[in-house]
This record gives sequence, C-alpha cells and structure tokens, in this order.
Amino acid sequence: MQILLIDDDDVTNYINKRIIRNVDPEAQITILNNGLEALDYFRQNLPGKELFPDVILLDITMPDMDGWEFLEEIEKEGIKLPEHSRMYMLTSSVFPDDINKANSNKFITQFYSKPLDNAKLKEMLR
Amino acid sequence: MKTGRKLFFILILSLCQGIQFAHAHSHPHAESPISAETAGYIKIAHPDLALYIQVTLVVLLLVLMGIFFYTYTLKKAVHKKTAELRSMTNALLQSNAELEKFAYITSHNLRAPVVNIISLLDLYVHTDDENARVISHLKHSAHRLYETLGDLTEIISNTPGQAELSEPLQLNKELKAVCAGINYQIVHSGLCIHTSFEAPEIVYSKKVLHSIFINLLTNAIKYKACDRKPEITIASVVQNGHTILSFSDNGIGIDLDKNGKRIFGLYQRFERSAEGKGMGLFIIKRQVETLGGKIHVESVPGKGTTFYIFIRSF
Repeated sequence: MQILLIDDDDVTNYINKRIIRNVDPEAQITILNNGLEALDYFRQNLPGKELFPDVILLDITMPDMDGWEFLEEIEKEGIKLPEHSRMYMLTSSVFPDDINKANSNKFITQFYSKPLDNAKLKEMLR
Repeated sequence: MKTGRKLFFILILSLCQGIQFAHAHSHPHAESPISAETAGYIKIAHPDLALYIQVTLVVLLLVLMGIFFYTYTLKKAVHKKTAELRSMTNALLQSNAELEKFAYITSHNLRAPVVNIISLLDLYVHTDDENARVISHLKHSAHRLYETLGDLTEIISNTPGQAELSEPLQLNKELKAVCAGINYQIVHSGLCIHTSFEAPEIVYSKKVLHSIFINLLTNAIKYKACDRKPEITIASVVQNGHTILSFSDNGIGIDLDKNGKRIFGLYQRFERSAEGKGMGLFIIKRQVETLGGKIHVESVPGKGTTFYIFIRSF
C-alpha cells in the first residue's frame, strides 16, 4: 500500500505515520509539505500510473499553496487520478462550508476531520 | 415637499401684504404703496382694529418663520444623524464580518494542536503508575479543551451570516423533514405534535427554521413531565404584518423569576437529569436575532413552557 501525506505540520505527519503503520506495517509513506511540492510530485509521477499512491491525504491550510489551490491547479492542468488512487481531505476544519466544498470536488473521495484514527483509516483503505 | 415649501412662501408673502395693508389703515397719513382703495376689498373702519390686525399678523409671521427655521434645522440634524448612523452600521457590519473570520481562523488554528495533543497521548505508552496518572489527567484536560472548541465551532457554524439566504418555506413540509431526522427521539418519548399554521408559509432561512424546530422539539422531549404524555403545539399567526411562531409544551416548565435571565445563556441547564449541554436556546436566540427577529418565553412551573419566535418580515 502506497500512501501520500500532504501536510505542513510535522507533528501531524508523525502521528499519521504511526497510525498508518499500526494498521499496515508494510505501508510505504511519502510526505510532502505543501501544495507546490504535491503539484511537482503529481506532474512527475503520474506517467507511471501503477506506481502512483493508493491513498492521498490532503490538508487544507498549508503555506505557499494550500489544499484548495492545489486542487484548482491539478484541475487546470487536466490531471486525472489513476483508477486505483483515492484522495481524501484530512484537515482540522469542521466547518460545513469546507465539508461541502470538499465533498463536491471531483478529486476528493471524502472529507475527514482530524485526528486520523484507526477507524477512519480503515474506511479510507477499504 | 416642494409644493409644501411653495405654499409656505406664498403664505408668508400674503402675510407681509396683510401687514402692509393693515399698516396703511392704522396710519392713514403714512405713504403706502398700496392704498386702502387700490388694495382694499376689505374696508377697516377703525385705526385701532387695523393696528390690532397688524400686530397679530406680525406675530403670526414670526411664528411661521420660527416654525420654518425650526423644521429646517431639524431636517438638517436628521440628515446628519442618518448619515452618521449609516456609516456606523457599515462599520459594525464590517467589524462583525471580521470577527466572524477571526473566530473561524482562531477555532481552526486552535483545533489543530489540540487534536495533535490528544493523538500523541493516545500513542504514548506509559511505563509506571505515576506516569499513567499524569497522562490520564493530561488526556482529560485535552479532551475538555477539545470539547469547548467543538462548542465554539458549533456556535460559529450555526450563526447565520449577513447574506443568509431567505426562501419561501412551507411550515408543514419543513416540520416533517425535521421530525424524520429525530424520529427515534419522538417515538421513544411518545411526543404528540399538534400544529395550527394560520400562516402556512414564511420567507426565512431554512437552516435557522430547522434549527428552531429541532431545538424546541428536543427541548419538549428533554423537559417532559413524567406523569403525563408529552405534547407540543406548534402554531403560526400573523400579527401586524409579523409572523409569530409559537411552541407550547406541557412539560415541567421553568421558574422564570429565578432563571429567566439565564435561560438563553450559554451552557445553562436547569434540570440535571436532562441530556444536553445547554447550547440549543443560546444558538437559536442568536440565529433569530441575527435575522432581525426576537424570541420570548413564558412558563408556568409544573404546567409547561411556550416559546414565541417573532420573525421579522421584509
């Protein structure tokens, strides 16, 4: 299982890594710190589609390029996710506007509020 | 307005002419541009009477000029105050929007580290009893902080913004939709709902109407009396162009002399056995008032409570 975490907060990334390892010790985890890094990653790795991460967790509030801007950019570039990949929004926000906006975005499978826990992760990996 | 002003000037001019005319009669030898014969369709026999008329007309003229001056200054002052109020309202609207944004950012930014603390505490493996106690207290404190932040977020999310959408809503239809969502609680408590919608439709925010229905229905359930079947009557009437929604239950009621001031406060609960955090009435009061209406409560302990929602009509 390949998992991509897009979040600028080191503590969050540490926690998420630990939780993912608890559920799947073999998981390969990649961490990117903002939307710009993620955009580069998408541009470079999408040609080799089968190696693209199975699960992508995207935060909203990040420096340089936030989660919404990142989603707009990949939409503009006409990027398509491979069929086996699912992108989830995982953020501290619990506001209905963010939830609705995320759930109606074509790249996002579902919105989740932090913290990530075993139950949420299992839902994502299903 | 313009016609009024013209009439006013014609009146003053006529008065001036009248004064001159009376003056000519009270001083028969004085030179006057208007003689009694040329101007006179009225012949005044006695000079004293003419003087009397002259004085009365002068007084009348002064009074009229006074009224004119007073109205003019009053109008100017009203214009000035209106402009001041308008700019104050704009400033308040702006600061309100900024506060909303501030509360949003603060609660979001506070939530992130609190969530991390809770997750880290869950991951921590304690080695001795004393550490276990410290971690348990830390967990408890972090959870309290997390819950308070959750409440704050709920209040912010539920407060309608300035641009809240109003739409025509059928009260019966919306009530049904809300009841479907809390069907389990209604059936479980045996709550009997009566309706009397004299005004069957209102133009209002759907979100706020649902919030009012949910909170007041669940309140009627939470505060039901144990010796009778819970009942609530929901009614709508139009009075002086305003729609009033009322919710009358036959629950335990509340002593308003003792608790009246606190009933719409945050975290206020009056029955320890009842579930809930004491946020519902606080939230709906804010919602109703933000939309320009008001909420009023009447209650008789042991008999029941009635809430009135005055909906502002636009």
